[in-house]
Amino acid sequence: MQMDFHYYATYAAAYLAGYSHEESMIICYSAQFVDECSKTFLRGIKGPLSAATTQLQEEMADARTDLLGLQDITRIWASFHFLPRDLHRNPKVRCSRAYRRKYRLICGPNGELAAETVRLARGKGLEAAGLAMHVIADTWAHQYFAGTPSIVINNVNEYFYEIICRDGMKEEYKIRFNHNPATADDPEKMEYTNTIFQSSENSVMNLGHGRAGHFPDYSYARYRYMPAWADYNEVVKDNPADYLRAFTQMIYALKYLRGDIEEFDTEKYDMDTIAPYRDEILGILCKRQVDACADWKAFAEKLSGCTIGDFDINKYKDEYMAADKDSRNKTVIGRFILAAMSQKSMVTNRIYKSGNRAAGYSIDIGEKGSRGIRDYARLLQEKEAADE
Amino acid sequence: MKLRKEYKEHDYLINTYGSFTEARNDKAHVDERRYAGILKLTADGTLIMGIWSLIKGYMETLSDMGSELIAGGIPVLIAIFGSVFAFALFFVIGISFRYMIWRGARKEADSGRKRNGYIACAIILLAYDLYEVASFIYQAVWKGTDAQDVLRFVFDATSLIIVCELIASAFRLRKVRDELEAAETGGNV
Amino acid sequence: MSKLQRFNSFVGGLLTVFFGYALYMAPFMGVDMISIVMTATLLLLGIRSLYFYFSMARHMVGGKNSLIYGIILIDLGVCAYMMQSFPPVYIMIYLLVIHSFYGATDIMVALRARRLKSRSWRIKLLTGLGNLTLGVLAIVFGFTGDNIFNVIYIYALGVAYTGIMRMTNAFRRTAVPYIQ
Repeated sequence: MQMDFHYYATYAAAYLAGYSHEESMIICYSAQFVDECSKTFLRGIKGPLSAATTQLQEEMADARTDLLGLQDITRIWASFHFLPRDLHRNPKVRCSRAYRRKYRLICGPNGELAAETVRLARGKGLEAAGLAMHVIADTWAHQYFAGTPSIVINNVNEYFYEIICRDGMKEEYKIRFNHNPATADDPEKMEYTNTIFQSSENSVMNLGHGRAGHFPDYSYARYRYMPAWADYNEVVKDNPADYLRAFTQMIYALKYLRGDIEEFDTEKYDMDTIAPYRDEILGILCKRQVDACADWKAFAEKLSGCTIGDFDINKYKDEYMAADKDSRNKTVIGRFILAAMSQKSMVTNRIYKSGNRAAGYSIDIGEKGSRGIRDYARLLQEKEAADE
Repeated sequence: MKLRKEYKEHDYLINTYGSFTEARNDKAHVDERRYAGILKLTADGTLIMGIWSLIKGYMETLSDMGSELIAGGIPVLIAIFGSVFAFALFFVIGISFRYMIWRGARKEADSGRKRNGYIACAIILLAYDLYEVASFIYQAVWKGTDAQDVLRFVFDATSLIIVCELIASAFRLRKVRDELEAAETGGNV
Repeated sequence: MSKLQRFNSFVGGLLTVFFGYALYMAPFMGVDMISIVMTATLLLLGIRSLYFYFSMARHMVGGKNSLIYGIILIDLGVCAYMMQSFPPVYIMIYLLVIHSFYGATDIMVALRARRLKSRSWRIKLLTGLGNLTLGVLAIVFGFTGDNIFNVIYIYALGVAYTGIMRMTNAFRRTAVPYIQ
């Protein structure tokens, strides 16, 4: 998903869930900030690098693909953008352990980890809520791809057709991919940019939906393709329907985080709240455009009657930089960093506990003491302070 | 490819799980995609392996020629002419033959139109590969062999297997497509 | 990293450093050694590709590519072994191609990183220029044949550096703490 959904639609979802304009602004800022909080940014504000929630293009180009590099990449992308649906699922065919480990990282909505993500964010502030909304929304857009470099899971071939509904008829067109990043995606000509084919299993070109470009991120996209892992079965993806479910699941989750609902369960969508706006929302979702920011912004502003400022990555930077060491965790970015480390720590632990080392090792602080990556000491201190 | 089918506006919302278009994952459709994929892949393999064996053969010829040249056995002009001639011969015979197989196989996989020319070429290639493998076995039994020869045998054997798979998948693909056509038109295979 | 992975990383690094040292001390064996390493590398890459096919890629749509790739790499390895009897110029051409490729890639990455204000662009640019220089030196010395030892010395240093990096990695703190 892109800024249109992570920022403006998340604002609308938060407002519909009952948050005020100011609260909704922090939630949507945090949701979009997940796509911006890279190691480069964290170095700039002298923040802990382990809190990185994304990798910039040049960071990816520099990323090592040795064991440690791959684990770092997997921790970031599986925790925040490609949350695995089922860590214990087996492929239909008999396969090696290495293949099974990658297969189990395939992203999808309504998994146990998605529920844990929402539950983990409860009581942790608006920043954690925004971060969780990003993760939940991406489980819908990025399903069938894995947050680890893997050609055997993430590759797509030329069997890739867009389904377009026009004048009561359904048409299918073959999508043409090119590898020139300077070329803009063209929905009219059905030409999109994707990463170049690399036969190496661990090439960063094979991370997530890179081989299908940005196409799976567009809300209007309905397509039929053959995932590398599906043994020549095809998958039909209907983004308008999926994005509508993502939006209504976000409202339901935000109501839970606000304390209006006691328990959070998967497969529940708050369709009632959006009933008066359903056609309007569907109209935005189905419109063939690569950037729906303007439409979502207009819709969200109409809802709250307030102006929603454009996303500015540096909005809370000065607040964080000016705060002294002890009060940094109380700032917007400080709380976001804690939420990010908490999410990464939880997802890494679950992947590790399932017998999968793709995201690296996880040690239980209670049992082993503080022996892991030093950045996480901050999270431990915060936990101890909260306990006291 | 462009298909047109009628649909009801927003009917995808009626179905709780999913999609307003169903995935075509019955056995016949999956098999059709599988064999078309294998056909294209083995066609690529035949071409790539062919190009590599040609380069290898050419390098070996050049290296022999180089040794002779250094020893003063061959005049330079004849060496140059010989290498150009060898390259042209290898290229024309080897590449164009394999290119025909590659092109025919890919076209059949993509378009669905039956083509027989490339299958005839593939069968000739298969016969040649069989001869290579048989001659290696004969040599190994009667004259002995070293590790290098064994590795070369692996290459030839793989080449043989790929050609076999190309021919087999072409025939299987035709059968599945006939079945699908019969099912769509309500007729028999 | 598990203890075994740390051990592997350390021992692998140590062996690489040792190879670099041996190359530095006995450059007269250099060309033969490079040829042997080249053969071993190609054969190992081929075997790895075949292993990848049988363990993972056979389940993938279009995974047979890895099988073909592996077989060709093994065959390339056999060819590289045969090149031992060729003049050193062939080995040097190989080095030129490899190092120039890595050099050009590094320089491109460095320039992009510079545009995006990354801190690491200088090191990357230096590595790229170093690789490119090594490639050019390889072709110059390879063709003139005057002082091939100098190239082997530089190559040995590069190998030792890679080994040291692998050894250092074995001691890094890598586990992610889980705080309930």
